[in-house]
Amino acid sequence: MSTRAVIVDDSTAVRLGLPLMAPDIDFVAAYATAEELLLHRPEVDVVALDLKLRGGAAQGVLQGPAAIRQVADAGYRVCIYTDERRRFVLAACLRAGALGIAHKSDSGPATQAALIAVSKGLNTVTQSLVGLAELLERRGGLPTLTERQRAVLRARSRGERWADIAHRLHITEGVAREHMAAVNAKFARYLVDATAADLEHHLGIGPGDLLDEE
Amino acid sequence: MLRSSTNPTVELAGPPDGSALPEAERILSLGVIIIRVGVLAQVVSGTARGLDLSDNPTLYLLLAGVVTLESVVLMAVLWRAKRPRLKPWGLVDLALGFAMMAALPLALPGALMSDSWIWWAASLAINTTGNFGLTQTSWWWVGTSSIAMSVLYVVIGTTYGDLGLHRSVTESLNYPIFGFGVLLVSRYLRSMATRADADRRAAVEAMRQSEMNRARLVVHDASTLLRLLGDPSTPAAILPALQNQARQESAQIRNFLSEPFGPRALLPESLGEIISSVTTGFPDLPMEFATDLGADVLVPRQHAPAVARALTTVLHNVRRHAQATQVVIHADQEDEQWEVTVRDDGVGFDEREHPHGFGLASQVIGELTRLGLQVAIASAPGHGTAVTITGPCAKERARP
Repeated sequence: MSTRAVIVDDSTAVRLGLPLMAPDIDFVAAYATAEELLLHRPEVDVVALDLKLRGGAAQGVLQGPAAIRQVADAGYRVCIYTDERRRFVLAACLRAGALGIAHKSDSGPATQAALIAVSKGLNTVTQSLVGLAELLERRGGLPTLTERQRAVLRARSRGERWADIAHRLHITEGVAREHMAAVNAKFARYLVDATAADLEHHLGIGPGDLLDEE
Repeated sequence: MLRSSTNPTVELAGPPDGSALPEAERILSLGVIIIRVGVLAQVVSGTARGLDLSDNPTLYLLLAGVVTLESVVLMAVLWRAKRPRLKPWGLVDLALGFAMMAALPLALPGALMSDSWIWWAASLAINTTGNFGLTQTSWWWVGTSSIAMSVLYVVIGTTYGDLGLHRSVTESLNYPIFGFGVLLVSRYLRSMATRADADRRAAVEAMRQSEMNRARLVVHDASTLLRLLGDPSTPAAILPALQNQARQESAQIRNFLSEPFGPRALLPESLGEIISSVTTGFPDLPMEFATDLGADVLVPRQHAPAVARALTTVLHNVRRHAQATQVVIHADQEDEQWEVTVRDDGVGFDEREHPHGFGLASQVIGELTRLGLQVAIASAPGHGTAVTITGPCAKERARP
């Protein structure tokens, strides 16, 4: 059974384009606002949610971490689909309950893979957040990582390809991805659970950098 | 233009004025002349005394005249040529030594052979044997001639003179000793001088290469920029960044032309600032930054410009060749060492089939390894390219 998804984006082009980029996913609906999604509540495996839903000069539109939180609370698995690359903003999305992040500049297959992973409850993060995860790990914020997970995180943070990592560590690509998936899950869990003091201690994030991205 | 206006030491690459070998030859020539003047003084003085005792004063005077004439000509030739390696004259001189050794018994009684002033042929023969050693490079010829002179001396000393066998043999050893001694010393001097000249040429060449490399380093990135600026297909979106880089390159070239050995442009010291200052010139590249771990590391001031240039060159290469969809810039610090990795997911290249171009070979590997930094380049077709630079942290404490 194919993955069922819905897209929430204020850009008509994106609402039309994403289904073409991810042909293996069944997009059952497309909305311009999160409110419409929450109103219709379609049954889907994953929501591709744009971070900014201003739609021009509209005020009071549900968007950003607040939208993520409400959509996640409604029982959806959220994959942020955005142009945003600021790491702390993306980290705020994970903290708000998004399981994954995909960039609009990513290739079609990469976007589709991220959506499918999130539909299965897996965490996916983009390259821009892998460096943040490594920083967190180095500063003691991810103490439960295994040696293998650390090695894969270190390699991915440096942009190493899956095939090269697998070859170097004498594991399969699938196992390498599983290690990274475990890292992503622990990273996302940390972001959700971390106190303000934790964030400041581990990532140097002050109040307002991440907590108030509403 | 660059050459004449940037570095006066490049002129050292011209004709080797003041080279060591000609100087050594001049000194050896002077030595030959001075010693021959001494021998000639002995000949003239001894002849004046020996005329009364001579059996054949006319012949004795004639022989002295021949020696004087040949000596004067030899000294004049050496003075003009300023080098004693004149084989024909060495032979002529040696022949004169043999001739006088053989002819003097015809003019003097054998009893006078022990008087070296009157019997000046013995001293002259030592001198000519030595000169022969100076004009020849063959141990065999010098050995043969000096031993032949020894044999002649022993034969004359024992048959015609009154020296006796023991004294004749002992004194005859002077000939091979002088012959080989002079050959040895002159060879050593010439060898030292030749080596000094070779070292000097190598130093001049190294200086010239170093200056050429500096010029290449300065213009290398500028050439890429000019090509991109002149290419009508360059996307308009990156033109502002290219223009900004062009202004920086222009300033660096101007500094290079006006102040070749002066202080280079001041660059930021922290690794994060270096990375930031470099990468702002490449907004068209799909860069992902993971620099937190090394951003605050202080790079030694003498390394910072080379690191910035190397990173710039690497990113120029990515822009021109990689066709990358992602370029990860990673910085880290561990154990007083910092590390920067630039990894693209582009087309890569086979390092065996495509040796590194000038930019990577000189501006990245050459410059950085010269400063003691480490560079690792890994690439394979279809696997992208990774350049990792490692270096020591500055002694100062990292910024908080």
